[in-house]
Amino acid sequence: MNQLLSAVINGVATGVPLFLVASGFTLIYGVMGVLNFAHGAFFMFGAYCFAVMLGGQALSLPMFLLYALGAAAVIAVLGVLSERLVFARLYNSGHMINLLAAYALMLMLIGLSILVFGTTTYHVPRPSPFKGAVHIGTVPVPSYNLFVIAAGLIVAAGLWFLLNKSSLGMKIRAVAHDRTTARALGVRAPLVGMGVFALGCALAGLAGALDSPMISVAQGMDATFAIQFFVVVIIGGLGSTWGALAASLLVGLMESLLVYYAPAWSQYGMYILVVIVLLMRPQGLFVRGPAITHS
Amino acid sequence: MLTKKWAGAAVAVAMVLGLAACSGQDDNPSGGDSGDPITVGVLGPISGAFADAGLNYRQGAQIAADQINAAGGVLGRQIKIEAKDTAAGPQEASQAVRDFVSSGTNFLIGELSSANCLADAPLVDQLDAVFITGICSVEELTGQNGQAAPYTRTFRAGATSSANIVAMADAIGRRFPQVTTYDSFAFDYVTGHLQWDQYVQAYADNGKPITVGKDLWVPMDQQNYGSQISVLATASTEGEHKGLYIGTYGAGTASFLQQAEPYDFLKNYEVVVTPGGYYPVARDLNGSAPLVWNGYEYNWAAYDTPENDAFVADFEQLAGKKPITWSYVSYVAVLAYAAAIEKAGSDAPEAVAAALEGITFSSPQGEYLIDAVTHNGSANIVLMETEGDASDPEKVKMLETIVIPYTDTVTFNY
Repeated sequence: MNQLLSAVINGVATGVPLFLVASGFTLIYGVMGVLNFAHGAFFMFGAYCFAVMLGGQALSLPMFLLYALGAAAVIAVLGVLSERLVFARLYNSGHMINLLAAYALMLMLIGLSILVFGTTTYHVPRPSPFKGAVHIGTVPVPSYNLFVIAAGLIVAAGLWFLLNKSSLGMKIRAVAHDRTTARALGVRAPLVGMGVFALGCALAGLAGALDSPMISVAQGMDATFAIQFFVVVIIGGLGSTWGALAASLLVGLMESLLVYYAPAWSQYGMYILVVIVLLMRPQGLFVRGPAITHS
Repeated sequence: MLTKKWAGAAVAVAMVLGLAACSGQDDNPSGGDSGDPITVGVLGPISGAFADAGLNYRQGAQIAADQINAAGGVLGRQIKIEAKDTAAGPQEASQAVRDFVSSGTNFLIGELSSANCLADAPLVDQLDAVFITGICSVEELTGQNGQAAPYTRTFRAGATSSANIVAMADAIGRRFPQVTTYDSFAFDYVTGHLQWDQYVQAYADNGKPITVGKDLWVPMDQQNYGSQISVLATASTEGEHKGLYIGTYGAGTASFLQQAEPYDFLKNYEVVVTPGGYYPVARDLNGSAPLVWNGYEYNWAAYDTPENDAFVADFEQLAGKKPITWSYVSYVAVLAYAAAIEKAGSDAPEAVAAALEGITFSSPQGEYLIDAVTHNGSANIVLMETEGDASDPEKVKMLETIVIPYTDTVTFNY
């Protein structure tokens, strides 16, 4: 029983950080139709900015959060610049052109990160209240993981509120549904697009910042997470925020349960899920009807 | 009319390219007259996850070049270091070799990835260049068990994987005789499995077979090890005579240690060992690195020689930190070229390759030899015990270093 509890808790702790990264990616695709290959690079920039701002010092929780939001704001600006300079000119050029542009942007951002941050690996200490572990039952769980889980759930709730309960959300949904009609009805679609890009990239930056005490902030971390968040959005359904959350948890739980009960299969769990979803429900678990096709 | 213009332009471009190609086919194969610098090409990652290793590689080579140049150069000529990125894999590595050779740079060093080295070595033979690898630990690059080197123009400045692992297992086995059970956490790839098997086998060969407890393999493209760590956290209790073998490297090892920290379970193990480039990981952990034993070719504190002092001092001046194995092996490789060119009295690749066979020269570890038959370098293995120390300038406290002479490693023990 303890083992199962441990597996479930660790599965959730593995899944929620994945959601934080995947949420921005799926938001940008859902609204703008851009498969942003550079999302991993924005994630990496967020982690680097955060690490540089901290300078290796352990902070109190409020300061830690403030710095994390600061890093997210920097990445939002970077996202707006990318949207204005690259994607805004290509929205009507079709998926393939956008994909290639995103790939080129990714390569440029990786090169830029070497110029700006160098090749050094950064270590980010956990904030002072979250250095140790707490016990849930008899299962030890790092307290920082619980903090990240809480942050992920707050982001999920915030996104839900923004998209479904706010006037801005209505405009975003209108642009996502039909950009031309939305513009005809007075929605400033370019501004909405820019805002969505900024938000999506800020989420990547925030994910980079919050994940950084658990991982190495180093060159190549973009690629490490790119496969995982791609898998998450494939399983959850491109463009679905709830799908991304559910898929992240599913991937985390699957991997964790396999580590405990079938360790030899643990690293294939994610891919087994992808295969099953693509065979049974190619549009993803949380997207109704056929797969989204932005034109 | 437009077509004619384009055709004219195409002919002009073709002529320029043709002339450029002709000018690349110099009579002097080393690319320049006797007053020109001799260029050593460094192959290795400039971008990607191992960019820092590549930077250390280039810095080590640069220190050697600077020291040689300050002493008057080789045959009165200066040594110049150039680098090309091979982070993308064997195809990019092969292209880099071709580019170097076509621009007249025939003396190559470097590479981190064994797959790249296996692509480079036959190409180097084919192009009549010379290659000294540092870190590629794959045994097929040079002769093993006294056998002749499989590639006439490829040499090794570092040690093989088995030399490192077996030496480490021998020394750790003697140091911690009560440790009879090991848990393992390692990357799931060919070398990861090979090294773990070699470690277990080395114990068995010494008549002290170990029991394998938890045996956890993680993919190389992930950094979230929460589930595996929670399994390990419950697998060990304090006071057990148990060891932990960490077979990850770089960011993987750093992430593992960061994620393991809140569980505080590493203290339950009597010994934590890891092969390969661990020192920079410990350094990057900014004082929070746990107590770990690591085996690799070099540590700055291992040798009390004037050559080592000079290397460490010059490296610190250039990079602002201590040199590591990656810097050391590229440093040794450039020293080897300088010695071979001096011995050959020429920078013709064929003569330099012949001179490298059986050459000896001074190095930080003492006299260094490249075996005439196998092409293996006489790399010692350094076993080091380290722990994070926030007050240390390097953020790492060197607790102990044990040098295992190359004559005691499997590379030369035949």
